[in-house]
Amino acid sequence: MTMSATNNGFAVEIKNLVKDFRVGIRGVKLRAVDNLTLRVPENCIYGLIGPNGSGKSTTLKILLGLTTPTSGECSLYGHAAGSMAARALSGYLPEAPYFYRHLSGRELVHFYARISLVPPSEIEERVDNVLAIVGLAAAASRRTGTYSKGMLQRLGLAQALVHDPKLVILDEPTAGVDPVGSADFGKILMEMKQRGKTVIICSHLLGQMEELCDRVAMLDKGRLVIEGTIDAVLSRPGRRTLTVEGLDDEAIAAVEAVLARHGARIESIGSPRESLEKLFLEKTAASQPPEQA
Amino acid sequence: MPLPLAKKAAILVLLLLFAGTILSPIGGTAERWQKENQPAFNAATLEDAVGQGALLGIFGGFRAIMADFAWLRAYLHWENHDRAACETLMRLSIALDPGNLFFWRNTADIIAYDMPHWEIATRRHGGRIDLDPAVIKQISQKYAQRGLDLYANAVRIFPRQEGALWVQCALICQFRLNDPRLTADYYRKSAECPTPVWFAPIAYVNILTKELGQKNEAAAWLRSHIKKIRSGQYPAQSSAALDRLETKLRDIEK
Amino acid sequence: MRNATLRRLCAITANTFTEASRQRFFALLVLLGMVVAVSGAFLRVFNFGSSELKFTADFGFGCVFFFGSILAVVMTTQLFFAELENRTALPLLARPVRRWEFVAGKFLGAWALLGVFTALIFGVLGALLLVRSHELAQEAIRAGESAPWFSVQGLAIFALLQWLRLGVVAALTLLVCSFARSLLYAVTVSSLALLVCQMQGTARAALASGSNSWVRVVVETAGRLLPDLQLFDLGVPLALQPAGVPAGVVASAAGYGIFYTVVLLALAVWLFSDREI
Repeated sequence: MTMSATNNGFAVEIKNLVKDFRVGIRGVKLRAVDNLTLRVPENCIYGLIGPNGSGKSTTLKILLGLTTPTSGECSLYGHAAGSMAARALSGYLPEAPYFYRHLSGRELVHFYARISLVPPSEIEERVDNVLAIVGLAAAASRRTGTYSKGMLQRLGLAQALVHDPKLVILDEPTAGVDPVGSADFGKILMEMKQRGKTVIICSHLLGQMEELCDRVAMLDKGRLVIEGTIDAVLSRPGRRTLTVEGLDDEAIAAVEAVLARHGARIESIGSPRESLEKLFLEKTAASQPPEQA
Repeated sequence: MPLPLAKKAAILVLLLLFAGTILSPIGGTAERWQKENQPAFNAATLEDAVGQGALLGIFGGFRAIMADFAWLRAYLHWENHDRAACETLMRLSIALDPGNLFFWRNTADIIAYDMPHWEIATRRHGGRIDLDPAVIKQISQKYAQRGLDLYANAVRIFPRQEGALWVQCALICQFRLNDPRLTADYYRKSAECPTPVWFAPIAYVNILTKELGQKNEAAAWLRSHIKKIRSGQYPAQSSAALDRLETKLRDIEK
Repeated sequence: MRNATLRRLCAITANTFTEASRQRFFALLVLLGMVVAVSGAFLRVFNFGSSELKFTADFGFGCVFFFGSILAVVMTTQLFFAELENRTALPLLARPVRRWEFVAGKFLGAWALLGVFTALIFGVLGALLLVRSHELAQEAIRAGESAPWFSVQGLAIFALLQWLRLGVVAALTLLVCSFARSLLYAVTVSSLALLVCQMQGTARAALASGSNSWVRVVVETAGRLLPDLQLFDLGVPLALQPAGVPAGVVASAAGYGIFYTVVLLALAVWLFSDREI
C-alpha cells in the first residue's frame, strides 16, 4: 500500500457523516446516513454492502459532491469531498447507467475525457485504451442507444477510467451482467488495483464481493454494522476447514478419536462442490466474444 | 446547508424584482419608442383590446392574419345583426392590427350607420311596437358618438389621414345626428389640419351660410383661411383650391 | 484555470448542441416553421388592406416566435431536465465540472440551436420578401406609384433580436428547470411564464391608464418580475418602414435581452448549486 503525504494512507475518510432527507408535504425527516465513520485505505478494493435503503448510494453521492451532507466530514485523498480537486481524482460508474443515446461509444468516452481535462494530445489514445480494456473496441462506433445492458456497464466503466483517476467508485457495476461479463469486470478491477488505484464497489452480488474485495463495510439503516478485511469479517473464531482426499468411514472414525483427545469435534462432514459460476465460466467463456456480454 | 424552500422562493422573487427594476431603464428607450411609434402598443388601441384581447401581442406576429380572420368572423355576425359580437370582433381586429385604416373606418361606419337600425328593429319587435322619436334619436346618438370616438382615436394613429377622417366624422354628424353645427365643426377641423381634404373648407362655409345662417362668420373664417394658405401654412392646398375659396368668398360678400 | 473552464464549457455546449440537433423534434419544427412562413405569401386573399409585404412579413415573424418559443421551452427543458431524470447528469457532475458550467453549457448549446433555427426561417422569409418586393417595385413603377420598402439589413437586425428574445426564453426555462421536479411541470410553468412575458407590456400599458394608483403600483411591480418580451417586436419598423428604428432603440432592446439572460442564468445557477442530484 502506498502512503499519501496529506491523507495518511487513506483514499477516503468519512467522519460522523449524517444525511437527512425531507420527504412529503410536511417535510418529515428521513435519516439516510446515520453517524457513519469509516476509512478506505489506498490501493485496495473496498466493498460497500447492505440492504436496499441502507445509505450506500447516498454515501457515494456525498463523496462525489452530488449531494451535500447534513453534518459530518468526508475527504478524498485529503481534499474535501465534492471539491474540484477531489472530483478530479475520482471516476464514477453510477447504478444502471444511461448515456446520451445520440453519441457513439467512442464519442461518449471522448466527451467525458474532454470534460475531465485529459490533454487533447492524449485523448484519442486514452479513449482507445479504455475501450480496449473494457472490450468495446469493436462496438465503439455504434450509438449507445443500440448497446445491450452489459455493454452499457462496460461503457460506464470506460468513462470512469478514461481520465486515469486514483479512486474509482462503482455502484452496482455488474447488476444484470452475465457471469462471463461479470468475471471480466473482476479481472479489470484486479488490474486496476495492481496499477495502484483504489476501488470502492457497491453491490448486492455478495459472492463476487467476497472474491474481489480486500475490505468490506456493511451498512444497515444508515449505520455501519461491521467493517474490516474479508477474512476478518467472515472467519468463525475457533473453527477451521480442512479439505481432505481419500477419506473413508474408518479414517473418519480415527480422525474423530484424535480430535476428541484435543478437545475438538467434527461438526459436519460434506463434499466440497464447484460453484455454479465457475462451471458457467468453464463451459461458456470460450464461445463468448466480450462485446456481446 | 440548503435554505428552506419558502425562504429560497422568497429570495428568488425579491431577486427577480430587483433585477427587473435595475434592467428596466436599459429597455426603457425601446419601450418608449414603441409606445410612441407603434400603434399596437399605445393606450388608444389597448383599451379596447384588454376587454377582448385574449391574443393581443401574444405571438409576436401573426397579427395581420388573426385580425383578418377576426374581421371575417365579424362579417358573419354582421349578417345576423348581432351588435355585440360584431363590434367585439371588429374592435379586436383593430387591436390586433391597428395599423390598418380599413378596420378603423369600417368599424366606425358600421357602428354609426348600421347598428342603430339593428337596435331599433330589435326594440320594435318586428314592427309590433312603436318607438318614441326621442328614443330613436337617443339610440342614433349613442352609436354615432361611438363611431366619432373611434375616428378620434384613429386620427392619433393616422395623422396623415386626419383630414379625411374628420370628413367621415362630419358625415356621421350630418346623416346620423342631423346636427349642422357639429357637422360644420368637423369640416372646419378637416380644413384646418395639416392634411385637409380639398372640399372641406367649402363644405364648412356652405353649412355656415346655408344651414346656420352665419354668413359673417363664414366670410371672416374664409378670409383668415385664405390668408393662411397664401402665407404657406397649408402647402398641400393647390392653387385651384385657393381659386375656389376666393370665388366662394366673393359670392358670400356679394 | 480559465482555459480549463473554457474547455469544459465548450465540451458541454458542443454535446448539448449535437444532442439537440439530432432530435427529430428540431427537424420537424424547422420544416413546419418554413412551410408556415412561406404559406403567408399564399394567404394574401384574406388580407384586408395591409400591404402585402407587411402581411407576409408579419406572418413569418409570428412563425419564428411561435415555433421558436416552442423549441426554446420544450427543447431546453428536455436537454436539461432529461439529464436529471435519466441520470446522465450523475457521471457528468461527479467530474470536476462546476454547476454553473453545466447550466451555462446547456444554455449555450440550446441557444446555438435556436440560432440555427432563427437563421433558417429568416433566411427563407428574407428570400421570399426580397423577391416579392422586387416584383411589387416593378409593378409600382409601371403604375406610377411608390415602391414598397423592404430592408434586408433591417430584417437581419430583427433576426438577431429574435435570437436574443429566444435566448431570454431559454434562460427563463432553465431557471424553471433548476427547481422543477418533473419535466411536465417545467414545460407548463415555462410556457405560462412565456405568456406572461409576452403579454405583460400590453397589460401594464392598458391597466395603468385610467386605473387607480394602487392598481398601477401592483401591476407595475408584477411587471418587474419577468422580462417584457414585447420590446423585441421591432420587425415591421426595422424591415418595412423607410424611417427604420434608431440605433439606440435596437441597442436598448438588445442590451435588455443580454442582461436579462445573464441575470436569469445566474439565478438558475444559484438554485441549481445545492440541488441534490
